[in-house]
Amino acid sequence: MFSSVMSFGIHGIEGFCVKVEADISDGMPMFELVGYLSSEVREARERVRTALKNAGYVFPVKRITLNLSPGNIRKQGTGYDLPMAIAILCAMGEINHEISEDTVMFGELMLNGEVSAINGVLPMVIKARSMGIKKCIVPHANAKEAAMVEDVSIIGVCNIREAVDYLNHDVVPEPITAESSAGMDNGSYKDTDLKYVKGQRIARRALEIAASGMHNMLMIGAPGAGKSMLAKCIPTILPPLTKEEALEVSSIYSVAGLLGSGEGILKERPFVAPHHTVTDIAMTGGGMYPRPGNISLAHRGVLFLDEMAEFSRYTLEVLRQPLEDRRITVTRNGGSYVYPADFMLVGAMNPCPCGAYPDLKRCTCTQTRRQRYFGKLSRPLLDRMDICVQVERLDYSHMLKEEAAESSVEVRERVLRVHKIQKERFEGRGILFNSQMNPELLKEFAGLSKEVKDWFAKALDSLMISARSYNKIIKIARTIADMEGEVNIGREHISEALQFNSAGDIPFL
Amino acid sequence: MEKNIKYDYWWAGMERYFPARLKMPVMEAGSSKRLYEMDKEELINIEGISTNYAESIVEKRKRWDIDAEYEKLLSMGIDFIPFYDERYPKRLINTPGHPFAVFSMGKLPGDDKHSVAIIGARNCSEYGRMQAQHFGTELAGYGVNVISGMAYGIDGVAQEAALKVSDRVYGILGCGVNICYPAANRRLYELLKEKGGLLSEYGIYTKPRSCLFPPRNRIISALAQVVLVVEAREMSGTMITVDMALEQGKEVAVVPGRVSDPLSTGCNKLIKQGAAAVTCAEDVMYMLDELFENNKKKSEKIRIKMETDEKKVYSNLEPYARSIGEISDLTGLDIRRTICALVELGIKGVAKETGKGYYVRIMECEPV
Repeated sequence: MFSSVMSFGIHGIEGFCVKVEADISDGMPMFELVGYLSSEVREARERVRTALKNAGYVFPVKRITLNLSPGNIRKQGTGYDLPMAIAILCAMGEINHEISEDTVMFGELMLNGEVSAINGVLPMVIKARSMGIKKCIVPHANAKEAAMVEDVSIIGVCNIREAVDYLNHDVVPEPITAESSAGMDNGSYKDTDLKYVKGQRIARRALEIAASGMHNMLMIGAPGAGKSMLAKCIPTILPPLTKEEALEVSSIYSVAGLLGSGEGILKERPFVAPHHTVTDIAMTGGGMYPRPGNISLAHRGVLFLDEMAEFSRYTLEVLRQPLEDRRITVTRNGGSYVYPADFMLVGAMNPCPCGAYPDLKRCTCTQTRRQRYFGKLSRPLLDRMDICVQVERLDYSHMLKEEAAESSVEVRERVLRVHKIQKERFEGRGILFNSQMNPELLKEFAGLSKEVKDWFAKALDSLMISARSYNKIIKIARTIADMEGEVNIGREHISEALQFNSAGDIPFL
Repeated sequence: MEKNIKYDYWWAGMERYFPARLKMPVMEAGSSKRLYEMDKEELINIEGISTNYAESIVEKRKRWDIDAEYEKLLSMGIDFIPFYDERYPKRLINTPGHPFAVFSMGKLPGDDKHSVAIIGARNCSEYGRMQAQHFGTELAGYGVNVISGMAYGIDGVAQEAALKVSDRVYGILGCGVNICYPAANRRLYELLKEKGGLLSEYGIYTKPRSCLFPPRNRIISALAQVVLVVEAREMSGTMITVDMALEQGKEVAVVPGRVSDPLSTGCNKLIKQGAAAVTCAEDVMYMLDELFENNKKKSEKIRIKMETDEKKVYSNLEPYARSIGEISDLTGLDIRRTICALVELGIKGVAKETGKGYYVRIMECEPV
């Protein structure tokens, strides 16, 4: 008696199809699992046997062989418990027909026969849909997450019995409907809003420019000036996640096991702020069984590095390649995994170790100490920080002022407009934002008039700005011009871009 | 006294950190060659040589190849000048406690010219930097020897500025003359070696140590007729140099700072105690008897063309860092216009961003 059931596994953040085959034959009673399995899959033997018994089935005293195919990819995780149990039941004749290939299932079993949640349901269902599969049997706890994928009917089951009833009699335990995707972003940022940020006119301006062109940003300011608060506001002025983006981001969180059970998909743009003791592997993703790292968790959102100079140099340097490629390839002995990592990098640091520079009345640092502090950020990394801005420490007069600051919603409207301009401009060019322009596109979309070009060349020369900052400044100027709705980049746009040019060109003496 | 430079060089190597102890035993014994030939008992009898010291002398000379070592020194392009040498700076020999010998690279400060030491804080303000530059350039323009310690801040800035107009610039080091300290001043070090001169009483390869700098400062003041203090805190290496200058009977000139500025507390204290306050290079030249009050040339301010916004911003800039926000508050211009004006002033070379978002005035000019 042979049967087979379709299921899915996870490789990186992509699902792949796994066929679970069961065969029950006469012979010495035994229960064998094969198919390049990791130890947690091997342990399924005991879970499946006991769960079936406690669900009220008699486990056959026969020679049972289970195979997970394809046999050349390592199977990990506990999601294969349910398909294994169903395959056995099918081979036993408990299920009255063969299970068609347009039904897939995954779920972990508990000893009492209940089905519990697993990681990575969302990407598996997305993959299933792309393969034309119509029905997915998932743990009830993961049902909401899975239901976000359209065109696939989701059957959330609490125990084996429910799964069998569904397969035998089409009894759907409890219909699962997707939450409406409208109002994705409403009310989710509870206490963060730009209207709570007092003063900080320059930093606010820089924040808006950064959000408009998706430029990476470095904030320099004294301790307590409000750098973290400003950074937290960035997601609130970025456009809300689109449905596609939300699915993409949620897939990553699903694989990482960070999607709260019972909840649907993520509705806010991610804001990831790792502590400065984070290791390079935690940053990029990896481990024996690779998991997405901080940069992937910040995909389509903001990666905020507070006290950037305190991070280990190595951890910072690994950011360079993902910042260029917008994804990271992690290679382990199990294979290569590609995780998306399209994030906006926002760093914050003090102007010097004591935090008082350039106020020489209070600063106790020597020049060597200041240089060493800034030296922790390598030149190539500083070059990738498009915008550098100071965050001033507020005095009480500003704090006590009751004047209302602009709220995130108002700023976001302007940012959305600039995003739209960029989207139209880069139609069919494979990029979305000014910050992603390559030299060729720069020539096409950010050309300077003769007069402006001459002035800019003179400015670079007298301000002693290196040639490698040239493109960066033009990119920011392009964004500033877009914010004004100007087609041509003018002197005033470049002037402002020069001010926000990164710290790499400031000698900090 | 018997002069044998190779033996003197061997003897100079006996004291790495306290070369001031070198001279007495040589005078006592007659020459360093004699010291080299003495046995242990004879050495102990020399004043200033203890039993341990004598032992180490005996030990060390076993490993010292008199000819080869001196050849090595010369091949590095370093001059070894003992006190009896006629090239030994006269201003130094007339100072009590002068070094037994000096190591030099490049030129030696000539005694035919007036010489001024420009000293000040390492952690200096932009105001100090501006003044150091001004005095360095102007004094070097008068053909004066400019002496300083090649340190960060005032010293280095003054020397670098002076080197642009003259090659009579000398760096006195607190380490071996072949070592560049601070390493970040490499460019200045090479320039001094090439155009000006480097001088040290410490043997080659002696690493910088904090205890070596106060004795170094006595050489700086000894080589100068006027010690010009640009910016100094009350407790600082600069004030040590000033004390030594006063002991040596040198003139001390001070560039005044603000009363409230901690970086100028030392300067202002010196003025209170009677040091000469100087505001231009001519004041210093006057102290050197080169110029008389009525000969002073009037310094003219440079005229620079500015737009209305730029003028407003310029008048609100200080030699002390002000943030863009502050400047915008003071001028009443909005942030964007302030930024544009500041960048423009930066391009014109009158303003400078010292910390991210903080600007200072670095040039006095007349806006037109």
